[in-house]
Amino acid sequence: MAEVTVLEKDVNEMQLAQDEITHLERRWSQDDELLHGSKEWRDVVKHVFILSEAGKPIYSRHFSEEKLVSLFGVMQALVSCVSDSEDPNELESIQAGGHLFVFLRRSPLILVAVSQAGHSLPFLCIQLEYLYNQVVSVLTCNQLEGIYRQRKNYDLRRLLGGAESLLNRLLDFTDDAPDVLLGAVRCLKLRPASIRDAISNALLSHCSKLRTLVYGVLLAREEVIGMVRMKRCQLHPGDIHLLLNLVRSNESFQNGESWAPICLPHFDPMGFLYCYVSYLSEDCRAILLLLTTDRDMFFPLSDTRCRIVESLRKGKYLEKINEAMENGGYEMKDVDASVGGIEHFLYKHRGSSQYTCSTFPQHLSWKRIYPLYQTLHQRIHSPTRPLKLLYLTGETECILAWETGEFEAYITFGCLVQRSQAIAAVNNLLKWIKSQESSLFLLNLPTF
Amino acid sequence: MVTKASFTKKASLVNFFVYCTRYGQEEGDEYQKVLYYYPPEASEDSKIRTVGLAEAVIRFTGTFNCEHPCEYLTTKKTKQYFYEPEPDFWMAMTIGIPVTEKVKDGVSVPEYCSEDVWSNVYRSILIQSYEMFRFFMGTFESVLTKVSDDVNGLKSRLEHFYSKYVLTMELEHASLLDAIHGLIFLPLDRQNFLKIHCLVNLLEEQYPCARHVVFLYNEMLVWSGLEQKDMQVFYRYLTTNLFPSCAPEVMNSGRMTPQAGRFLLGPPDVKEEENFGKIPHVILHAGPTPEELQLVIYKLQNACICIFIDGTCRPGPVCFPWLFLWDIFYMDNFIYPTDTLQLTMDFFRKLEAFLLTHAPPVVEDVTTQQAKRLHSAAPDQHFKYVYFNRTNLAQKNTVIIEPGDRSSGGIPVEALRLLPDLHSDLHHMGTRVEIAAKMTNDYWVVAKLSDSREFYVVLNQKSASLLEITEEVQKLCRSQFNNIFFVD
Repeated sequence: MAEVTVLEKDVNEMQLAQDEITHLERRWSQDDELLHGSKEWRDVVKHVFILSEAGKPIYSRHFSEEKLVSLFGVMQALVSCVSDSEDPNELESIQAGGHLFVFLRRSPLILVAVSQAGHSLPFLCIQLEYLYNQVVSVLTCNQLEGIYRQRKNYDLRRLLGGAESLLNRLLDFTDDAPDVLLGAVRCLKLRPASIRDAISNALLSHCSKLRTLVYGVLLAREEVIGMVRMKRCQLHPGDIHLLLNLVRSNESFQNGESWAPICLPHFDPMGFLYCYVSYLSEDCRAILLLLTTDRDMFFPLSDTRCRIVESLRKGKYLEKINEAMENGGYEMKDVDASVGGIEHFLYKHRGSSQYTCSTFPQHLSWKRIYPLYQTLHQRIHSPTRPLKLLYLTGETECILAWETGEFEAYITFGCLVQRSQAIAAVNNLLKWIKSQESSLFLLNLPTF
Repeated sequence: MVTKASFTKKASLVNFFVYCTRYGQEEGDEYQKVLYYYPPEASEDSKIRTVGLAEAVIRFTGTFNCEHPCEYLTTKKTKQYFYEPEPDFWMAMTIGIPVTEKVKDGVSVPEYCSEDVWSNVYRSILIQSYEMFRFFMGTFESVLTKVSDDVNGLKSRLEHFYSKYVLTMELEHASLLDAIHGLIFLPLDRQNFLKIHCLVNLLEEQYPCARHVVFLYNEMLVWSGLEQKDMQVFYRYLTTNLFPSCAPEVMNSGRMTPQAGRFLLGPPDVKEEENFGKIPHVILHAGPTPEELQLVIYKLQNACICIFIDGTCRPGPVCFPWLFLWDIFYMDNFIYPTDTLQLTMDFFRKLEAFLLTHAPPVVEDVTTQQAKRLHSAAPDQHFKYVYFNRTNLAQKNTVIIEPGDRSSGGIPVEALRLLPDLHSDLHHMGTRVEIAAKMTNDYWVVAKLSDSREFYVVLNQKSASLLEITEEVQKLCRSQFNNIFFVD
């Protein structure tokens, strides 16, 4: 008898959810007719939304959340309707023509992407996962879960105030940079390789003196120059991307030293690390990040930076870093004469989760090629039928995707390339990368 | 330690329903919009909930101004496909995703293989289910307007049709072939082809009521007087429904002599005066206006002659236009003893006599030619392929897809499962695309799209390089399709 009552109650609740969706959808289509009938709304290539499990708006990439309250309600109701059925389930994605809707539930949040950019489903999932990690890095899981445990209806925007630029920048970056797809970071190319060792040693010798220091990272705009870490504390590429995003989104770092709490979800989703951020010096625009577990370390870390800069200056390494940063990336013509036919490549060194790539040529469209890379990536990494190699001959280009135990590579050729020529060029490219390995990658991460 | 087993649960049908948004708009009346629902034992509440969610999803995607309506929805455990065949009418089909048990650290965890429920394959199955209904019953709208009995008439026809149809969908054996939905033609020399053409012409001349004739041999198409779209549906009916259900009968009936034929659809024995057997009505839709005809099929040895008869037209000058007004026309699609006033037993006797006079020599010639062809066919090939031409819907394949998870014809099942993925990639990437893929078990799969032609081949040449495979595929195209132009 008791069971029957419970069932009836469930059914009633579900019926309520159903009515609620209809109601909300009507409201959304009435209230916001002007908005969602507008060209601006239609032309958005990728919407991204974050909401609470109670349906409270938290973030909308385009258009203010205020205008979309009932849409948020609809999304929440869809997610809960699927998960509340008799057989617990999870809404994952919806396809409608060129539009792909992806839902990611990371309790207590729901993240949604609506894309017509041609991006692959696994890629969009990774992107939403990054977005969730970005929220965690501002609040920690501890705090996030605690708030909603106390108040289901909490408006998280109050706590995330100011973090909006972090979220926007993260999405802009992850939309285009192959870092996220590959799960890898890029290193600044330094020649000869001994420079990198010298920089690492300078970082190591000063960082190892501080007991509470976990990581020391030296960054050039989007690339890593050097990293040192405490023993047994791996630095996950996902966490490095969050550090890069922190630097990218914060104008204030340009004015001097700063100090900020940050949670690195792969290191510890429950707690904060404290991050000292500063340019190396007036005459070198590389950025130094020192991460510690101790909240009162600002001044000792500031001293450490001075000492690191002194050591680097002595060896004339600041100039070398500046020079490398000015040179920036490399084009295919800089690689080698023997790689003719290759227009662009991505190469991931799997052992170190680092990648290198040539500058994308202007005569090709990244907006077209990148979704192709994603499709090939999806096939290569299929959970049920993975591939070793895939060669695509398209109308405007040929692309080779290749994975071995050592590397993963995506290589684009012009559409007229002969396969024999393509294979020869790939082999030469691999040889070249091998010969340049120590200047392209940071292969030994010193620990203390 | 992760070990992988085969599916512990195969792809299965969770639900299948048809609803119309014109009905049940008021709160409390939602049940009215559900026109058909499988499984029938589902509670009213769960029907309303499932349909309501489908509607909500479709409306939600609509607010993003998608140029296409919602096609499918994926959850962790299911994939739901949507199709709007006619304005306001929606069909949906939910597939349970196959599950494998993975043993991780000694504990068995279910793993849902959503990749094995290909969007292109299963959505095509949903669309075909509509086309099959339309073939036998007409469009939803036409049923609704024809039957004065309002929506209940449509409901009972949907029930009548789909309660049997959904059980025959063979979802767990779905493959690339369901996505391309092609016709298999019999390769035939010119002379034999002309003989069959003559036979068909003679038949159409003697029997003006025979509006279209289709001739098959060994389940392969030789001659079709139907429009392609209709032929596609009809061919599917023959190969998935009629032929499999008839095969054992032929074996068991003792009265069959090599010379004799019989009606597969039509009177089982023309000597019996009363028993007309099944003569289904069909509606062809590929032409400018729908054409309602009756289907009679005569089987003679390995040949099958399908005749689409206009029951309202008698051979000769007499015509009865009022017969369009039959009320019982739609009553039960599969039992038509007496409504077919034109199709008397005398008619069938004459038709059989005609066919037994003219057809056997033609069929025997084809049989002789086939025997020769089979004899000279190259045995044991190290590759398996699927070829499809969208212009004439011709499909040719050497991939025999066996039930179950075992490898098929020496090909590992993963290679076959990759084919629908590549099909979808090719069509997303342009009109002249080729993909060569090397699997982790070292099998090569090559998929090629060249305008309307598609070609998929699985090669068992381990340790071959990309260049060797390229050469091999070129050779294969030259030998198997020497008169077909592929853009390299």
